Amino acid sequence: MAKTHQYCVAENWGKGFIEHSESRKIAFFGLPGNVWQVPAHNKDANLWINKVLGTAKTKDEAQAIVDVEVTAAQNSWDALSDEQKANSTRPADITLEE
Amino acid sequence: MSTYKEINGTKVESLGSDPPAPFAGQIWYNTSSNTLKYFANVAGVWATGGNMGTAVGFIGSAGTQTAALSFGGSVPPTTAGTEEYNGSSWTNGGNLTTARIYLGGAGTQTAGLAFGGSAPPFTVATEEYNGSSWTNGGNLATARSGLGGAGTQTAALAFSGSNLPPSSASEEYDGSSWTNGGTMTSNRNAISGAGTQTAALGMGGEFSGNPLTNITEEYNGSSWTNGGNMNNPKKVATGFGLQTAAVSAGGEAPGTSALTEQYDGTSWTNTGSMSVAKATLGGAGTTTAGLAFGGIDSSSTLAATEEFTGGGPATLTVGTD
Repeated sequence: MAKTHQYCVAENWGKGFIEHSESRKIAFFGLPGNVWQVPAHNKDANLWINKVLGTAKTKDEAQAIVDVEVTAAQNSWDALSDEQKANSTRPADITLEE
Repeated sequence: MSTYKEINGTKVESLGSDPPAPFAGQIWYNTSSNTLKYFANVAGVWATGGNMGTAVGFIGSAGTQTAALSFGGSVPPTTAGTEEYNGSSWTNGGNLTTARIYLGGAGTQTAGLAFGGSAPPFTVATEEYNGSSWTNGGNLATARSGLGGAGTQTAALAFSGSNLPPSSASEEYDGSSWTNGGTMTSNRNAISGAGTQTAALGMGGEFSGNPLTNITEEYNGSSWTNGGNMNNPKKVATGFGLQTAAVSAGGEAPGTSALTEQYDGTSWTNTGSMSVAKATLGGAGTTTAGLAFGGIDSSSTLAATEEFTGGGPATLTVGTD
């Protein structure tokens, strides 16, 4: 199956990390662990990854990073009091797509 | 393959400058810039703004895209912290007197209002911000959290929220005390709000038992009526803008969401999504220049800020836009 997405790790430094002009061309999907999903085989997405000095990850590598973050968050949530749990939802597992 | 002329009955115009009043779908060649251009409706888009000093969710918020205010929330733990945004970076402001989460907000960066929330327990506390410090205002009649807010520091509206069970009550603030306003058509918690005291908008939330809703209600200063339903039921989103030009962004739908919708006073339209799905975030500004900040994603509280530029008719360049 053709790859639809590509993944990288890049820290969002704030202003200028994603410009409006980039947002018009690229479908961004930020994930836990500073993992970013952008379209594969896309010149604009490739240029953005270069700009933010993103470290390319395979889907499986990205999934492992996300899983660590989500598991930690689930453990933290499980340790909350019932009153604290009432104000939030248990973090859900995230499954990345090829 | 059909040509442009065969489809449209005319050739593409060559113009020395862009037409002053293009129509939707018009295409022309700009001989000055040597670019092929067209006029079309574009979706609103988000870009990253400066990161907050502290990652925080369940916050109160007020202000504009270039002068926003974030107050309270949970880091965790529950915080009294305030941060001010200037369009590029956040700086610390004065702390709330009462640290709390899930609170309502209204007003501006230099005349803000914080009300309700959960310290815990649910609180009636109202505080007024002058650009540097918070002082106590008049208490809400009903303690509640997850409530909606609209208006200014001297003419604010608090509505819905939960004091177990969810509420349909609204209250109006005149700068010193709260009085009862009109009752909403449905009891909801985790609602978001926009607009003014006399032209407010309540968006989404959850009913008792936790089912999400996409219901929108409009307030005219005395009573609530139903507006157009959002495309996506969600709670703990952020809302900003006016009753006739509002934005709803993020929330739980269920699971954290990046979805963004724009309201025109009658119906909601999906527009560009945020780059990160998040809930319990803050919001400020308008449909043309909005702001979303803080909140929680799938795993933790966020310091990220996103700046919204509204959609609409625009001149675009083929191969560039």
